[in-house]
Amino acid sequence: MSHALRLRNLLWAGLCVLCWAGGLAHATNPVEEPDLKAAYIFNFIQFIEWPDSDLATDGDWPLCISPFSPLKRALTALEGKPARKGRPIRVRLLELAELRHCRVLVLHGSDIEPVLRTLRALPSAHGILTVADEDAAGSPDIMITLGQQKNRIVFGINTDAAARAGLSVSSRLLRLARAAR
Amino acid sequence: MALALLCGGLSHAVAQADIAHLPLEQLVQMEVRTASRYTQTALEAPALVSVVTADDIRLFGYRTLAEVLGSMRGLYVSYDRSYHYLGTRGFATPGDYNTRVLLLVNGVRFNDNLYDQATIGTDFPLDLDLVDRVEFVPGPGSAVYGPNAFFGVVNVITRDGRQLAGPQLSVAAGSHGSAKARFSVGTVDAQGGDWLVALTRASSRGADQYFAAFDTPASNQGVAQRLDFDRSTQLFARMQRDGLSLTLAHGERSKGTPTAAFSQTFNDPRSRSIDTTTRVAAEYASQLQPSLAFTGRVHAGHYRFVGDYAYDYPPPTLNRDVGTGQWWGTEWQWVSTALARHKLAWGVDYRRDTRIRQLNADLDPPAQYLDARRAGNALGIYVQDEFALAPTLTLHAGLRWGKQSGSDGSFHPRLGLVYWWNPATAVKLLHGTAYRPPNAYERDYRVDLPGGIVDLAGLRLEKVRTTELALEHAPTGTTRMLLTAFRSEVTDLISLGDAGIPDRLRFSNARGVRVHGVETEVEQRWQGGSRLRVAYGWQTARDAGASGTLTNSPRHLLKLQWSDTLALAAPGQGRPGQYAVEAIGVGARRTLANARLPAHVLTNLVYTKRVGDVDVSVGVYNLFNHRHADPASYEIREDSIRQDGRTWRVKLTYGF
Repeated sequence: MSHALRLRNLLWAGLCVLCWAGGLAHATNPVEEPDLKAAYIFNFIQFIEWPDSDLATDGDWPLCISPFSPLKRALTALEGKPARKGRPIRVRLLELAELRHCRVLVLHGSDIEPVLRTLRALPSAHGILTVADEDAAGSPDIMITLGQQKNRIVFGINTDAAARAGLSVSSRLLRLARAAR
Repeated sequence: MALALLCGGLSHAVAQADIAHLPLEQLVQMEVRTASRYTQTALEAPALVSVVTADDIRLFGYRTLAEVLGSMRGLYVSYDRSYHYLGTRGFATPGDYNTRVLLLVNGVRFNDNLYDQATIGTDFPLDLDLVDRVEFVPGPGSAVYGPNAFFGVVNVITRDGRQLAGPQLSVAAGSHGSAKARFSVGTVDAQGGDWLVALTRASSRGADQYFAAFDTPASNQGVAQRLDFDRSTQLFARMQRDGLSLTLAHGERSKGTPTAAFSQTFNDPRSRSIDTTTRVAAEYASQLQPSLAFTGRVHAGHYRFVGDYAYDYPPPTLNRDVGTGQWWGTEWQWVSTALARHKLAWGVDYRRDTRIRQLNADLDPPAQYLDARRAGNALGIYVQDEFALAPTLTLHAGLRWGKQSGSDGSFHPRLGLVYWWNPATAVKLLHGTAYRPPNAYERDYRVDLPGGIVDLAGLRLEKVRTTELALEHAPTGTTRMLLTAFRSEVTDLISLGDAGIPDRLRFSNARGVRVHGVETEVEQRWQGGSRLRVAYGWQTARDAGASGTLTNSPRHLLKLQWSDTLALAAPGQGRPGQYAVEAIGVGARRTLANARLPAHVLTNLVYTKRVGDVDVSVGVYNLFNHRHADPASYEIREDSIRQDGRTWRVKLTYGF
């Protein structure tokens, strides 16, 4: 019995140390790639001008994700955060039929082609931002591609594609982008 | 635990809010962590995976796969000085040659087709230096992997030529006259092909072993002299290029049998066993369409067991037991994301057992007791679906139909629900089933000799059903905490037992076992290189028929690991060394004779440092020379087998 007791005490001690150390660690440690990419996506929303008509209507700000995107878990952290004019972000799984209700699409893998095809069928200036990981985004229609260079996250912006969708990218964002076309 | 999770959750929420609200200019400056490849992706899997990496193997100085597995949550290892046996969550049936754990190497089945044995000791034909990581997935996995994935799946992933570049020589020496040498060459050719070839030889003289059950003047006062030797040779070659990979693994091991197992004459120098195995595998992976991936494998294997047993009937004679298994197989798998929100995987596994032969005969005077032959097929067809119900909720469902010659076909489902409470915390509800048909050894090995197995009944499939609820939390790639509760029910368990005839044993499906327990694990890595991991498991396993707990079933399992850098020399003399301390605690266990083996905690201490161009590792195992023993199986007269006291190893590795 004393053996079991000793084990328990040891465990509690371990947990307390971890708890304390865990708190400390956050302040200084580098972060995980998906978390950092999600933070970028949140920032993109702030630095892109959406067509006025969109912002006139009240309601949520739907952010739609490919169901098997590696960023899915990190992006769920953005749920409820204020997007533009205080409209809260709603994280949803992407559905082709409902695309026009999304403000941001985070695309992955085999979802990219059918989504872009559907977007082309929408009227221009649809005001939907498309984001994808660099290795997945062969298509020139993707507006922002995220990549990794050494230990840093980098992004490229296709301003033409954004302009076609009626989005204007702020110069501050363009300045930080690796390659703007 | 709840407190720790809560506290971790809070600090995570703060961290998340912080990065998302940081100005872009600052985000651009932030670094991505690269060291943590598995911690956070583990949150997404419909399982509670344990991973030991090449770095851990080096740091903690693991010598065998058994030691790697023994460091993982919920696992424990027993050794009878012939083979190592893996216990999973309080379950280790005496006489089970690891048939209830599926061992994969780079995804290819490694259990042989005769004994279904997962070799985890010195008989595992792969040098640990060639291993990139070992993953263990607890719980029944028959819905994906078919038979043998009964209590868990071990997947060993090897390193490639890029990781072990150039010629490399490693030599080691240790207690009981043990020595080991490896020479390997890794390279990447002009066409981008990755090559790795390695040869390892190891030898251990072994200490003289004392067995109280044989302590008589006629049997050398119970001391088995020079019978714990262990000699092995291993060859490994692997080529990878453009989605194609070819692998060859060959291993031979000769092990002395000091225990006089199967009622042999004690302390006879001829008593030993030889395990020889050869495996070849080819894998091809290709993205057929943007939404369709294909993986195909062809593999073949040969396994041979030769056991020499010394008897004095009279006259004194040597009995030889030979078991040979030969097979080939193929596996095809497709993964499709064509259907919105679904990731569908389906596939076919086929194995042809071309030859299974078991022979038992006396050499002089000649007499044959067994010559059993068998051939057969094993087929499995499965489908799995990962269904994204919501951004934070995923359903994993799988169903497999499998059939093996001599057994009925059966369906095995699996269900997993993974819910992300927040991005750092997952709640997992897992339900799985598994089965195992009796293997050729259990079906055909019938020898009417002392310690032999007699036939009294036909054997059926054994089955297990497990439900598990888990909470897993990983706020960053450097912190992981988990808490899980599980319940398993095993029916028609195939086990060895008394036949009711003196000195004879029998297999039967007579038993059912219920296991339930809880496990917790906490891991934290700090930036300076220090690391702490604590895993604790509590479980009870009960025989549904008989009262009392099972044999070799500890209630408590504790793993504690701490490692840090340690600069012994003055700063500026290269990288500082690292030390690692590991404590492995196994609760009290019952033996077959219902004796109680007390709980024990073994402490290992390893120091590693690069001196010039040589990687040096010095390890002391069972530092406090703690006396401990493992329960023995039926074939051994001694009720428990005493394990090694303090041992050491020095290892030097040099890359040319």
